[in-house]
Amino acid sequence: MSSKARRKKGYGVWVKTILIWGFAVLYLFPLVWTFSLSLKTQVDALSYPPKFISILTLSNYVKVWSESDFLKYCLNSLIIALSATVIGLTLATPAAYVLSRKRYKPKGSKYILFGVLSTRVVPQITFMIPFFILFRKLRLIDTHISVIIMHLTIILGFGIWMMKSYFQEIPFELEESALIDGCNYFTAFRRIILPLGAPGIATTAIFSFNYSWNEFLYSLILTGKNTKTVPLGVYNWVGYEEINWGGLTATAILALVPILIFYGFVQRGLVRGLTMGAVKG
Amino acid sequence: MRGGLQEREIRRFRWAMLAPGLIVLFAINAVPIIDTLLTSFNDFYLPRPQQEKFIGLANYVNLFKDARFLSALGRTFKFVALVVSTEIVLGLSIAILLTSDIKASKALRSVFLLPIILTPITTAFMWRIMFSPTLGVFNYFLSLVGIEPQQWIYSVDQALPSVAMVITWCKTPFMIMVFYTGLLSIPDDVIDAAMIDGASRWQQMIHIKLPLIRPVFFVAILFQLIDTFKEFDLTFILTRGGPGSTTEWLSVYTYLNSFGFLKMGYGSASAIIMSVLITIIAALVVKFGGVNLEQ
Repeated sequence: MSSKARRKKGYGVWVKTILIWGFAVLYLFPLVWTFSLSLKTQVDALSYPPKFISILTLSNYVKVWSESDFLKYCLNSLIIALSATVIGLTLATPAAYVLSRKRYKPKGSKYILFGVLSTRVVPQITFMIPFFILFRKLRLIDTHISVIIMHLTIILGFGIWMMKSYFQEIPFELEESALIDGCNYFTAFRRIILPLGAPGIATTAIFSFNYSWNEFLYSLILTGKNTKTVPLGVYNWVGYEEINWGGLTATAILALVPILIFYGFVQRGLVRGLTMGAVKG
Repeated sequence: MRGGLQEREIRRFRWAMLAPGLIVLFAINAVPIIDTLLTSFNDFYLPRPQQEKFIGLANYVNLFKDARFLSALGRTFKFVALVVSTEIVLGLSIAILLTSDIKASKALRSVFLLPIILTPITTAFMWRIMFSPTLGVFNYFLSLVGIEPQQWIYSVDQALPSVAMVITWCKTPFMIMVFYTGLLSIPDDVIDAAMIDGASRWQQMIHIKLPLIRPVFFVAILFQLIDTFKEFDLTFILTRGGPGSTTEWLSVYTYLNSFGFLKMGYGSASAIIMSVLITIIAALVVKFGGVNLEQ
């Protein structure tokens, strides 16, 4: 695989290694701190100087498990995030592909693309009131569908733009030879673009799922008792008087697990896509 | 004859692929946008909805006379410039480091993804406690090297850069991922050809790799610009626009007018101005950044 000749440049590698680990530590610290708070009692969490070594306790996790509906929040978030991602990408991938190819895209595609982009420039807050009123009329408050629709407003436009730019990097020759071999346009898209574009699609899927899983504002106004999502579960620990740091951080840490699992799945797809591409290319 | 047939097939393919996505996208976006636009021409005080009346452009005129709005506008530009430029430098450097030949970069890649998977609301509360002047861990670290405690988000001077730091931490992973995937998807033979021609790694990066990922690069910047311009939740949890109004971006200002003072018409006008400004910025990036819409 790697035919790249290794050159001698001893210290360059060291500088790079130190740099990247330095960045990694900076990036990791707030997360490590979150994790450490989830293992501390409220008193230890708020002590100064900060306690780096304290009596570790799992009581916060037990509390999240027993005192809140964490599993239910997770299930709600999962339903919403998976639906929004799947619907969003199913609609966005074909559109992105057509817009990425000179041969297929319609006249004035420039304006279509800009129109797609302009749906993103509107501040979130402006979406809240009209949709709240509309969903109340349609009796869709406290349903998954309303939140999924809100998330699609973001995911669709983002997906079309992201994937279009990834698809552009795939040379047209590959599809052309498939077409000459007798594939029709749809099969060429399925057999060539989907596997070759897998890294881009996977990246877009990760961002979409992640956005939907973590989105707070829309969920706050549109969900109710039955459809509360994970970020609201985190927010539950914030009281008027004080913040329950243990509960908040433990919920947040637990909320990472499903995303990491999703990421793992998509990542596997990503690698498979890359190797399939390598075989074809 | 054959050409016409093919043309028709292409047309069918084109719209079959394009239409579903576009129709859904525009349908769900049109409702709130039109509603906001209409509200922005009205005097609409939420507690007295029956008194809503059409006042034309008065909300817009008043906004441009409002010193608080104008300073929020300037502050937003400053904040966006600071955040996005830092993100580009950091994102690109880290992506390049990750694709270079150092060991363990696979595991490291996941580390840089972690900040975005943490719920933003958690991020905001965590940074708030870490910034705490009395019991925050940042001041503790500073005290170890003999620097006196800072006020961070609670100080008039440091609030803006402190919030910018949080947003940068939170959003750079997006840049890293996009650049990284872009760099990875460059076909090997292109690089091999350059190596045969004797290009050094640095030359390969500047003359071959970066130009090749240019489309992805500018799309990432475009989205970061738009999102940072709209930034709201993190700022609101961190500072609520304060102290004073030192972190009151346009989004916070809009929120305060709509949901704080309940002046929905005024807030809507502010939201519309914000959207128009972002559209102009986006158009400029598209035009001068070489995001080729025709390609």
